[in-house]
Amino acid sequence: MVTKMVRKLSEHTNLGLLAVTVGLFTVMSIGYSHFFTLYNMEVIAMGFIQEAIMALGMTIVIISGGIDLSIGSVLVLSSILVGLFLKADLGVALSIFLTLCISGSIGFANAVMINRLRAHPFIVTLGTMTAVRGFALVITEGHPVTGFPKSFSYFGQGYLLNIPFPVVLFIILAIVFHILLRHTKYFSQVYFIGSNPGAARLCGMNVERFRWMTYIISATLAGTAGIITASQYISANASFGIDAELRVITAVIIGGASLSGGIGSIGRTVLGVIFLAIVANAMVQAGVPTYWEKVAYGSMLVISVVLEQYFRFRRTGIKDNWRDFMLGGN
Amino acid sequence: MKGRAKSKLFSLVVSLVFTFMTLFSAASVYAEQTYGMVVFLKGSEFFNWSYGGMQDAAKLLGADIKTELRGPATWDASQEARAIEQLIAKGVDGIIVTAGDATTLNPAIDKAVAKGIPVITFDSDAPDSKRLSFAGTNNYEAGKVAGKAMVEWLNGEGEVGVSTFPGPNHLVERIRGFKDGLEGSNVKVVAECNDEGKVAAAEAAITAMLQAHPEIDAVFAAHGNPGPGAVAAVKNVGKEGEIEIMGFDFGMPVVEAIDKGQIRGTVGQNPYLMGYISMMMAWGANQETRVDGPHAPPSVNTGVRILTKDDIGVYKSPPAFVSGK
Repeated sequence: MVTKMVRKLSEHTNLGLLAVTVGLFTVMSIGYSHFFTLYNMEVIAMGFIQEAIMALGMTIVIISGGIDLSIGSVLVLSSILVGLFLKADLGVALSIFLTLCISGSIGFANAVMINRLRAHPFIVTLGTMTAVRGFALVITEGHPVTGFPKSFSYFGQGYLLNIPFPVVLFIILAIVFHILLRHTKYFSQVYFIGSNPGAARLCGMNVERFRWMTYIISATLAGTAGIITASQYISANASFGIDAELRVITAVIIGGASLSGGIGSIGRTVLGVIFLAIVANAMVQAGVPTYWEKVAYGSMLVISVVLEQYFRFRRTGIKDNWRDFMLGGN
Repeated sequence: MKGRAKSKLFSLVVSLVFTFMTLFSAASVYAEQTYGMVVFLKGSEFFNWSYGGMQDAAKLLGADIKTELRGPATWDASQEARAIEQLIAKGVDGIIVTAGDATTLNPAIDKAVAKGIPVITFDSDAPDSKRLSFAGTNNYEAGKVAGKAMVEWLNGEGEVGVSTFPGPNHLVERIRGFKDGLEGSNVKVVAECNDEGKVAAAEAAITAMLQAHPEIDAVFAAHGNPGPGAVAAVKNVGKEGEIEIMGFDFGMPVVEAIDKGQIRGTVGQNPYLMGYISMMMAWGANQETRVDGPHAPPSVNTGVRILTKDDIGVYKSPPAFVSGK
C-alpha cells in the first residue's frame, strides 16, 4: 500500500526533495516556537519571492535546453528604471509598462544573439549579465534611487485577501505557466525542442522563434521581480539581485529539471522554490552559526538527491539508475 | 524483500530526522535573549571586528545573552532587508545593522521597531528610518583629529595635498574637519585631487598634483584607497622619505605600507567599539531604565585614532574569528 503510494507519488514529483522539505518543516515546527506562525510563513514566502517568480521563466528556458544568467541583472536594472520613470512623473501604469518592455527586450536580445551567433546561451547571457549590471551602476553611479509615490508600494507591500500581493501574483503565474506547458500544443513543444532540437527542426518546429519566446518570458519575469523589489523597499540600488540567478537555477535543478534540457515542470520547480525558501528561514530560526549556513544547506541538497535516487530505484528497480539521474535522464 | 525495503525506508527517514535534530540542536536550548547583527560583505575584516565587539559586550552582560551574525556575503542591501525580516520572525530582542545603502533597509527597520525590537545602526546609517541610534565615526571629528596630527607631523608649518573624490558626504565632512584641524598653524591645504575612489587612479592623480605643486610636504588620503596610490606617486616623483603620507582606515595595503615606513600613519576608525556600543544600547533599550525614545542619543561617535608603526601590529594579524557564532 505504502509502496504503491510512494511509487505513484514518485512519478509526479521529486519525492526525495518532498521528504526533506516535509521533514525539515516538521522538525522546525516542533523545535522552534517562532517557526510555525502566520507571520513567519509570510516571511518565508516573501524572503524568496523574487527568485520564485524568476524560477518560472528559468524552468521554461532550462527545459528548452538553454540557460539565462542575466536575470539577476535584469532585476536590478528594472528596479532602477521603474524608479527613475516614477520620479520622472510618468505615472505608475506607464512606468511599469515601459520597464517590462525594456526587460523583455533584453531577453529578446539574448535570444537573437544565441540564434545569430550560434553561441552557447551560457556565454551570451553571461555577457548580458555583466553588461546590464554595469549599466545599472552607470545610471545610478552607485547611489540608491528612492522616493517613489505611495501608490506604487502596493506591488511589493500590499495584500490581496490577506495574502501579500507578490505571493498572489506568483501563484497566478505558476498556475498559468503550468497550464501552458501541460495543456497547450505550442508550449508543450518545449520538451521536444529541449531533448532534441535537431529532430524538432526536422519536424518543422521553429526552434529559433521558440527561443525568442522563452528568453522574453524569462527576462520579463525578472523585470516583474525587479518592480516588486523596488516597491517592497521603496528604493532601488545597483547592488540588488547579486547571485540571484544562482539561487534561481538551484531551485529549478533541485526541483528536478535537467540542465541538458527536455525535463522539468512548473510543479517541481515550485517544490524547489518552497524548499529553498524554508531552508533560508530555518537557518536563522534555528540559529545555525552563520558560516555553517552553506554547509547545512549543501548537506540538505545532497540528502535530497540521495533520497530521490533511492525512490527512483524503488520505482523502477534499476540499480544503475543514478547514471541516468545525474546525466538528466529519467 | 519487501519488508526489508520498508524497514530500510523507515531507517532512512529516522536518520534524516536525526540529522536535522543534531544540525539544529545547538540552538534548541532556549536562550533568554538573542541579539542579531546584520551586515553586508559578511566575512569582511572590518565587520568581524564589529561582531567581536558585540560578542564581548554580550559576554559582559551575561551568559544568557546570545548573539548571531547574519547578512549576505555581497553588498546586496535587499538581502540585508530579508535578514532583518527573518530575525523579526524569529523574535530576537534587538537588531544591530550596518546599512548597505541609506534607504533600502528603512521598511524592514521600521517594521522591527514597530514590533518593539530596538534597532541600532552602526558604521553606515539609515538616517530616515526609525532606528534608535547610530554608532559610528563622526567624520568631521575624524578629519579634525587628522588635521591636528598633521600639524604636529609638520611642526606647525608646511603645505598639504588632499586626495579625495567628489560625491560622498562623509568625505566632504572629513575634509572640512581636516581644514579646521589645521587652523591656528601655518599648515595649509594647497591642492585637492580627484582619485575617483580607486588606487590606480589615485596614483595618477596624486603624481600630477605633486608635479604641479612641488612645494607639497604631505599628502592626506581622505579614504582607504589613495594611501597606497600616494606611496607610488611619491616614488614616481622621486621624493621618497621627503613627503609624509597620512592614510585612512587599516586595509592590508595601508598596514603594509606603514610597516615598511612608506606611510607614516593612518586614521583608524574603531569597528570594535561600534559593535560594542551598539550591543550595549540595544540591550539598554530592553531594560527598565531604558535608553530609547527621547533618551536615545541620535548618534554616538566611536572616534578615531592616528595609528603609526608602533600600534599597527594588531591589525597585521586580526584575532581569529572562526564560526560566526
